Amino acid sequence: MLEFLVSNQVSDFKTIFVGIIVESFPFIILGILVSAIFAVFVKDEFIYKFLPKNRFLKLPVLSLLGVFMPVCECGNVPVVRRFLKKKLSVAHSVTFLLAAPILNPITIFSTSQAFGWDSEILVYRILGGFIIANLVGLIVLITTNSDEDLLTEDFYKEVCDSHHHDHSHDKLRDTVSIFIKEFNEVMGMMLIGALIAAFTQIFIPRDIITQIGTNLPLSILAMMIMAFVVSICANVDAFFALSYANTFSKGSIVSFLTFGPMVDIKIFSMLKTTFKIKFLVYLTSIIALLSFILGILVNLLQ
Amino acid sequence: MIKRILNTYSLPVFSIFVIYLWRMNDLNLLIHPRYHLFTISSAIFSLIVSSIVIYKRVKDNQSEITNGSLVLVTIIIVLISGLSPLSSAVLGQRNDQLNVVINSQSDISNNQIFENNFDSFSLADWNYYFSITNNLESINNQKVILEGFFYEDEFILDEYFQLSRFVISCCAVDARPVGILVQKSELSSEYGLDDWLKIEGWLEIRDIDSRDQVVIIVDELKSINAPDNPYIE
Repeated sequence: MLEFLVSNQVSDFKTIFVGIIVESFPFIILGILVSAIFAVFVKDEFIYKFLPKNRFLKLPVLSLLGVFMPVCECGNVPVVRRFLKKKLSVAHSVTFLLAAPILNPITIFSTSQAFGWDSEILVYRILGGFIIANLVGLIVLITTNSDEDLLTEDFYKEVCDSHHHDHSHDKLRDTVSIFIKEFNEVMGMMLIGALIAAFTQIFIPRDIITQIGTNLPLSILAMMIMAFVVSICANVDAFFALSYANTFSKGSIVSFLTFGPMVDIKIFSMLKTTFKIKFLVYLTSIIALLSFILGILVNLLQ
Repeated sequence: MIKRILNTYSLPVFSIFVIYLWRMNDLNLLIHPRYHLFTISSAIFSLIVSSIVIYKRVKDNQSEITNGSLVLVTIIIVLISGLSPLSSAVLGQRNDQLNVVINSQSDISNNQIFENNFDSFSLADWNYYFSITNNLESINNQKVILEGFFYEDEFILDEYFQLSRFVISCCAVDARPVGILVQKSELSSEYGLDDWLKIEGWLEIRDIDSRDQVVIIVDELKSINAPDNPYIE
């Protein structure tokens, strides 16, 4: 037992685990800061003034907000929690959550650095991310009745209570109070997600996934599983994907680059603070299906 | 009471932990240096927020107890057991990415190649060069001085080991291994898995597994500590 605890596997597990947390930390802080400022200084009416009245038109507008949010997926979780507290519906908030990590300037820049500005992969990623986020938002909008059914009991209570706390005389106190609370909520779940992601990276042989790279449909599935397991930040995942570009089909690389920023072990764990597991499984299934179809379409176009 | 303390102080404690990692050079083991400034700035900003929390006597009574304690437990475990560079355990897992070339991550310029200026080449630079050259034979007998760690597995023939390092783009999660085979000799006999070595020798092209592969023949070999920045950027 002691031998195992001091083994290279445990030591590498620790390095990857802490690596994920430390790498995500500044993005989480940025996201929480935006969320806290948003909560205290931005009135609900202000948001609705800038969003179209039509609930379907709101989807593309929210999905494009990511262009102004240079934060990876971890940083968007607190922002989405704030959107929900500001009475934005689950469908609309989810559309932002899924699109923002892909349509943000840092992700676009890093993808261009890895694959080139004129690369089809960059175009497929941006278009695919935009379309999937909007389709998922639309499906949630049409198929769900009440947000209460989708949110965890605790978080739904917070959503209901949030309006009573919005007006205070000490805005600085309110901001830091939200900041510290969001940090505990999000970071706690982030640690659990990072723990699982690091464990799977060390103790589950990766070649089980990559050996199926030669089969076109299976290669798409393999890269999606890889994206889920590896939980790499959207801002740099293009470099990771590039190292598989020679062995995997273009479609599978595009599926990796769209599915990964939307759902992975780390994000799934963080979103458990907000959404019911049943809804998260439903959401993941739709995203997986659409990302898979995107991969197939890209392969067919080659 | 404990819940309140843990949740209220988890942010400043974690921020101090990040600054501690930076001061101890351990941040290099976790993330690419280009992210250091962003990470440290976030930690300093969080400390400022924390000081306002303490000054204003803000208490987080709402979060779950597990959250603040998880942060604390993580920090204690890392402080007690320490961190080390990624090693053979991860390399074995990521063999499918071994020596995969990503052009943007080689420091070598066309001038260096043109002038045969190989002195400062790292394992990643050599790997890149092998992938672009049309004439591998031209580097036969080329002198090299390289640092890396000892790696071997069932896929490497018994008479060789691999001098290896990791290349990172962002953090330990995306680290990809690079390596060159080294001919085993008496000089290398006392070293094993994960030992860091500095090797002086020359390159030789050999037919291994029915393909041309580059092998280092050792002139001098010495054990070294893992560098402060063990990954190639």
